[in-house]
Amino acid sequence: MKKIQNRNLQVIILLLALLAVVSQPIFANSAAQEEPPYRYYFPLIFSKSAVPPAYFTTSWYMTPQNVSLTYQMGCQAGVQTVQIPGAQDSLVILDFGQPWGDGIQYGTLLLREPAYDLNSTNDIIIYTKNYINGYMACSDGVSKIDVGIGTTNFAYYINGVCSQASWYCTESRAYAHGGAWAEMVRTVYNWVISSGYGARVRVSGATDIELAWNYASISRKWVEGFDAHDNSQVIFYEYGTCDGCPTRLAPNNNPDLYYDWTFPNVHYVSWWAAPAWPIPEIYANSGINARQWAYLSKWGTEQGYSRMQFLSAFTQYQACLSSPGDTLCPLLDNTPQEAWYQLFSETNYWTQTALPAIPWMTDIDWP
Amino acid sequence: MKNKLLFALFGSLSVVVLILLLNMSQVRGANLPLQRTPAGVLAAQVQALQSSLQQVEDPQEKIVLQEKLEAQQFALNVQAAAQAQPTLSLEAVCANRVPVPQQTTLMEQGVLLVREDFLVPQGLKISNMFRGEMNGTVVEVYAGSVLDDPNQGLVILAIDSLGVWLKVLSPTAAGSLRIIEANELRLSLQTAAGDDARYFDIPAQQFVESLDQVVPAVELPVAKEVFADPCLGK
Repeated sequence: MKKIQNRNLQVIILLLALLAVVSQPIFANSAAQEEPPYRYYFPLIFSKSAVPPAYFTTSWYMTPQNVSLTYQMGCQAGVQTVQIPGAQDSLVILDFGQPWGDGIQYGTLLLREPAYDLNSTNDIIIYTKNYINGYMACSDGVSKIDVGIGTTNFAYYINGVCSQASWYCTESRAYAHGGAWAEMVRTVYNWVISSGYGARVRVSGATDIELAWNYASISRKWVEGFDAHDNSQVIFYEYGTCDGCPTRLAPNNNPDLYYDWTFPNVHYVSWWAAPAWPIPEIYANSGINARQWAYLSKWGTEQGYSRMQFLSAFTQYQACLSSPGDTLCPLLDNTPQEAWYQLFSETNYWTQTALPAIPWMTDIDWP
Repeated sequence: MKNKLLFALFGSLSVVVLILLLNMSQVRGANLPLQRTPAGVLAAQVQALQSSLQQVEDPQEKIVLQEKLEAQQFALNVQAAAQAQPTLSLEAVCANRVPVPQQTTLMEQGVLLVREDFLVPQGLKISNMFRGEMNGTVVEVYAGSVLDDPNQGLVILAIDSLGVWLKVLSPTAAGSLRIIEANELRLSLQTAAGDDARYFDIPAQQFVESLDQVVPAVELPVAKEVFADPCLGK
């Protein structure tokens, strides 16, 4: 009899422990806790999804100086997988700069490139292959990585007019560039597959769409061009901003944003377009960036769209460390963990936007 | 007796726990599906998309989600197919290396023009630049102003091989700066109005008052460690 009682006791304790482990963390809905950070209540033990990943990757601004060093950069990412115990799953973005074309080829102007030297999609293919080879040579043999080949929507506008020297000023160019970008991404991914790397490496596109940098009509065309040429095989990560977007602290369902940007446009380029996956810039220490994106997701759900699946917060902590004297950095240098918590808390502010996890963290740096 | 008491205690605790669990729907986020940590991010994305597909009613939204799902499913299939293959050896990976075209032409040195939007995305408006060598290392200096404050002149000192990127504001906010000439590693600059001379000393990393003012050089960081390439057996 005693044995049976002891066994019952053990079963109950086991059940309680199991319940605590598998349950989601719950945010209290008290009126006193309208704003994050929330106080956590039941269950007693948090499941893994409530905490950020144990590591973050380094994404890179590509410059004329580091573009030929992508093998080393990939190796560096690979070495990280050896130093951290267990198999990891991560994302890096290689930001190759603003879209450009010379009438024959498409590509970019690299960051910190002082002249107009085109960095063509053929060049980018070689640089990215080298990054991947470096990763494969130096990593632990089991971890996975998604390499996002990035560009932006930047063009130089003076008083709302695209500068004569700029290239990325028309919808037709944007559409063609988006298409060329998707084809380039597919080319590298096909090489990954034929090289036998497919179990551990994925290749995606990426774009930093900032509302203050270009018109929505042009930025949308890039997305449409990508979508039309992705063969439903590759995606892109949108690591941009929602400049001037409202938040739950100053709600507005029909905001007047930069140029011709509207909420439907921002939502389209970052989530509603089929290949788009958002990893927004969550730079601001104040938390406003996270509030803006969560609010956009909420707006989307109210229009009948599905909730935005944020896969990472994108930060510039390391870039700020290597840019002493930058006057904005003191306000915009969230660590990857801070950004992760901000985005996770904000998306979980509303039931309809809540995410069980944000799986990645990536932080950009200069060479 | 003691066991009975313990049993009663845990029994009542279980009831409390169950009541709390049943009331979870009143708590923010409580209607989220209970989910174990997924085996991989991709598999979790597929799962999330499938769940969203079941919830949305708009046919157009269904099409978009279906397309999103297709790309993720494609990658998942690629993973599965590759996992069925034998593990790649380091030799195979090294043999797959793609040669990077090396820069064969020497970079032009001196005072140079820059493209119109150079560093604009970083909030700077650059007028022109200087490129030269200091102890065998390429150094560059960009002169201009803060984009949103054209009155605040500045220079950027960039030594990429050493990871140096230093923004130095002009001592007086008298307009955007332009490099006029280089006297070895001391640059003569002028404001946009052309009426205010400035000098920037590259080794000292600061503005100085004249061409011949003596200032101590700043110690440069050490070069980055030599890269250990496993393909070269290092």
